Amino acid sequence: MSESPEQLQAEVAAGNPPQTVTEYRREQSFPVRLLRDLAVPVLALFTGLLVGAIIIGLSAPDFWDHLRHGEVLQAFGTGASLAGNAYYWLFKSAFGSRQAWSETGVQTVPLLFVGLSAAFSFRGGFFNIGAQGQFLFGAMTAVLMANHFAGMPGIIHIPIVLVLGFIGGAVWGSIAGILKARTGANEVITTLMLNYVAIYLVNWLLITPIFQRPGFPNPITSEAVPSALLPALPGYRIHLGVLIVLACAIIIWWILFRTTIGFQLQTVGANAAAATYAGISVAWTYILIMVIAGGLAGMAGTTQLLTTQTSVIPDFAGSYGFDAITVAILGRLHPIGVIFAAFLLGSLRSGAIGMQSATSLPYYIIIVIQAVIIAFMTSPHLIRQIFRVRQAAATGSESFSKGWAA
Amino acid sequence: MTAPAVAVQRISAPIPWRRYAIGVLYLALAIFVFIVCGLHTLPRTDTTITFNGNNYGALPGLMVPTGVFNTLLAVVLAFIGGAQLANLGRAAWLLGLALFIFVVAFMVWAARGNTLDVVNVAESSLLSSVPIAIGALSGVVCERAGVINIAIEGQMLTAAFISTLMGGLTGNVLVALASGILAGALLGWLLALLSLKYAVDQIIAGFVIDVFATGFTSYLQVSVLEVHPEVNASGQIPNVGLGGLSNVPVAGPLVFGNNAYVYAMVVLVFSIHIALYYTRWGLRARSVGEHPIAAATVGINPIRIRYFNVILGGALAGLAGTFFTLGATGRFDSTMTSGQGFIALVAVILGGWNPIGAFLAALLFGFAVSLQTILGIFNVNIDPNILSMIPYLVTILAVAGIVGRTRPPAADGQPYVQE
Repeated sequence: MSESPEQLQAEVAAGNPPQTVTEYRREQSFPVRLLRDLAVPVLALFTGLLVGAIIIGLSAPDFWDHLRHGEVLQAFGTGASLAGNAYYWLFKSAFGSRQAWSETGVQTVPLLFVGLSAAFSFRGGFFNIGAQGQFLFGAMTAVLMANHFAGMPGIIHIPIVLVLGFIGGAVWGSIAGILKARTGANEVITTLMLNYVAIYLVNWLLITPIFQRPGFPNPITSEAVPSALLPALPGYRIHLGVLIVLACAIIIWWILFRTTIGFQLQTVGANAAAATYAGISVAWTYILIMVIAGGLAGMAGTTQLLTTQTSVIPDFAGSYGFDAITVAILGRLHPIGVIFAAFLLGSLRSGAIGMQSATSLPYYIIIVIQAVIIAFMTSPHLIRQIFRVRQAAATGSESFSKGWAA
Repeated sequence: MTAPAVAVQRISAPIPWRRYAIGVLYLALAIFVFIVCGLHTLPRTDTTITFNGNNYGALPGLMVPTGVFNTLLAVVLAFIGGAQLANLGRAAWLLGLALFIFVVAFMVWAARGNTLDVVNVAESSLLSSVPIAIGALSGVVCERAGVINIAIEGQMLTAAFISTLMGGLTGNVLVALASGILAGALLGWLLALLSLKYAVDQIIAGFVIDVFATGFTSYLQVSVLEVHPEVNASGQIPNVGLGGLSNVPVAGPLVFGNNAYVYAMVVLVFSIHIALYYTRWGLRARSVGEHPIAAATVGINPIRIRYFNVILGGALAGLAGTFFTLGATGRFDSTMTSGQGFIALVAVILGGWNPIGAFLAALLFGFAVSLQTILGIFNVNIDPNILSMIPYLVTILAVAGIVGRTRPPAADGQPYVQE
């Protein structure tokens, strides 16, 4: 966030010379830095769990029964024990056993892919909310190609399908990039509209002879052939996708921070006018952003297809479009941060699935927890006010969007 | 050292490729209408057009030879294409006209050998556009004061849920309505608090509210409404039937016998338009949306105006949300708003941040929503999914520059930091 000249002057007058984030970081020793950097996410997680617990407690029928009879303490006791039980199962199902860790990994992979996609485009100042459509088109291309090349050995088959899935998502994603580059069309609207177009287009494609599973009346594709499926650890569901997505995270980190393209992209994101002045082609940068971001979302759909859901159905993309934004914000748009964010959300998911089957409390409570976490992560002031933490300069909220005019 | 290049002055005006492309698109549309909707039905098919709504047989129908009628429409479309190429008339008007003619041709073709009731179509389109239009008003009110309200979807969903819960608990429709509006206003206040006081990016603050609302309502739907199905009954606001007037041909069913929400929508559109452009509050709100610092120097409190508008916007979105329960189904379903809050946001932009423009855009979406049910009556062998895509594609074309670049309020989305 940039400060106005007046604010800067006031800071200097008060004896606080302005510090850049890097300067600030160098002053601190590593443990202090780590503590400072972790304080906000940990407090955000804590608050999210607290709000979740309150909602769980309030939705308990016994809570209201006790309250009606004037038994306030018992009421809060039941609420707290219900919430405690829910979180016990949440934690146990996410980390309680090897099988639980495997499930957490399985949930993390697609979240990490879409999170990287969103973070990459946000870094370039491109508010892409179209991961859902790109996810769908990655999967559609992958299912078509997996079955087209049926009979190949897996070692060739899998890479081909992954690359084509990437291309499927990239083609769909690049539409918004080209529109923005050529006509200045606002990407928030085009990507949102393209999501709807993608949903209806896929719903239609699923009942055309090219995609529909032969002999089935409902919209569903054939299953991806076994030779294209990603190998899993014997006895577990955890699969090769974990390594692929981690490699992608490292590649994205490398592109962003170690290449000219990454530098150009971040310059465009920080100030498109300045980037133009510096001779960077903003139009090409937007297209490139959407090719890579779309491709990553397409890979998310592809790995999902080649592992847990082996055929495409209308609701295939689930809520991954919105989860992409959550993961990216939570990871502070940094590929390494996004890994942790996706892992956190992945463990919440696998935990919630276990919690729902053990306690029959609805899975959706984790969505509330997620919302609270993002609110706190993006507002340093909020944390400061509630927890009276001295705010580190490094935890200023990044400016993600610039309104419609951007 | 090379000699400095001499800047070459571009003397001729740049070729308006976009204008040409759109003109050619209209011509292609004209050919399409001529071949598919015209020639295809030429031998001898008639479409009967009636204007009756629910008053069956009040007026005699109008027999139209489908092929001839659509051939005429194709000619008109070709003229519009020519006008676009020759730069006659405003592009936005031409787009609206072309779209309208195309839709008419398509409907007449779809209803070939059958009866097309114009009043029925208008009525169901109006009804489907209610949540989008009122939601778009929420967006206009907020964005004119410089706050992007992306939380409309979440506010609508929460209001729909709360109105169902309160309606089910009290059995009183008015309590349900009021609590729904209040829930929306409360989330509006939350958006204002996050974005104005705690300096969260406006789009992210709105997004947080959307995510929260989805989780909150889905959780409570499963844990409360599914356990106590008797509570999942909001009641419904009765249709306004203005006695015998609703039996008047054409205007009767449309004007005098409609869902109460349709009246609320029309009244709100015009009163907000007047309030925004002809009152002190409107002038202040718009000035805060354009240049808050300038507004502050003449004694307006931008923060207070923004708080007021965002809370009002939340209340409007809440009203829109209660339509899903009190105005339509009478019960809550966790996916019932189905992204219409986001469509409302698009209607704001298509409508140029103007209440009446947003209303017209909402009518387009409302028509598209009702098209599926309308075409279900006829024997059209086009997949409904293809038709459902059309409004979204039109929106993409529109923001890509057919209607010219729309200009948001200058300070839309910009935080204002009080000194």
